[in-house]
Amino acid sequence: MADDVEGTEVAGAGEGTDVRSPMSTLARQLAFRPARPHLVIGLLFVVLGLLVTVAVFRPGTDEPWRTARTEDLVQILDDLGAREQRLDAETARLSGLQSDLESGSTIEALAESERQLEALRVLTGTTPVYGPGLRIDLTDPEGVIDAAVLLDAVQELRDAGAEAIQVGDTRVVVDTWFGDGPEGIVVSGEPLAKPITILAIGDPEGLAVAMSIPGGLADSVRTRGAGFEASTAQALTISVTVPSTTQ
Amino acid sequence: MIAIIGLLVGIAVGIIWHPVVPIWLEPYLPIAIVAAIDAVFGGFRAIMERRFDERIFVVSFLSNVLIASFLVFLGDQLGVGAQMSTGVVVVLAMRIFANAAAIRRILFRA
Repeated sequence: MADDVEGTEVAGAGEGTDVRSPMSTLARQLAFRPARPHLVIGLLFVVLGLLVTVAVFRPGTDEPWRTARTEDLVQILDDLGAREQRLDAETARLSGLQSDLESGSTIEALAESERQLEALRVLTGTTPVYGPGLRIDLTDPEGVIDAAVLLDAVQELRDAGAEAIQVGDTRVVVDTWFGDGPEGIVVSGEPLAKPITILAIGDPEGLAVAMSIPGGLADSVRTRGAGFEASTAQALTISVTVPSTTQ
Repeated sequence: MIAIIGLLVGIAVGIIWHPVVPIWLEPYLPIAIVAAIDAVFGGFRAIMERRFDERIFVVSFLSNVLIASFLVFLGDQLGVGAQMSTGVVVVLAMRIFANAAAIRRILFRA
């Protein structure tokens, strides 16, 4: 140890030749002189090298929680516990549903299936839909409305929660498409009659608000120079259906 | 010279043999390394000041490692293990820097 004062008293070789340069001191001390104390020192350095290597190549140091603090670990544990509880609740709900369905209470099973069937029918457009909704009339004498506007309109109506949509005489379902033809807009291959009428079943107020927001359908249609008229209705009918392929 | 050989042998053994540190020893490993490096720097400085003594170096090396490990152990028992480790490392690092500065002054006169 450098600051061990008694080191000076017992300092080893070389007294009396104080004029040597530091470099020669270093060289002399680093020279290979096998002796017992040197072997002890060598052994200590072996230990040091071993320690360093072991510390550097310690297995599993890449696991992040190996070095994480206790508070972090507690936090992680809490998160996992909360997640487990949520999943447990979900499991309980689903196994309850499963046992309900399996336990021969066919009425429940039937009701559940009917509910799903009805929802799917509305989605696929194989059944007429009645209910409150929004009626939109687009007057477009100059033909400035193109397919992109209608596509945006359908998208906005769906985002606003429309369950069923009819454009012109076509029920909008999953494979409905809009295109620009030489005589105007084409919907799934059929030419679209003017003025364009869009019927949407859903919450009338929500749909109306969605249409009239800045940059919404009303905005973009009027900016192009066409007429936009929307009216909410408590009883709207979308009677057009898509022929079902599997009924 | 023997020091460098020893260091290389130690590293080689560590890489080839891959010793597994027992889990109870793991918290003391970094502290022991820093303490040993402190002793090495101290010894190097003593060499440069021409008052190096093998016995003192060996004793200081071992006692450094043991005392540092004991302090961390004590800190663990008192519930302040992390802080104690930090404190010991800071003190040892300061000593290493001081020794390095002394060595530098002797070697380069700067």
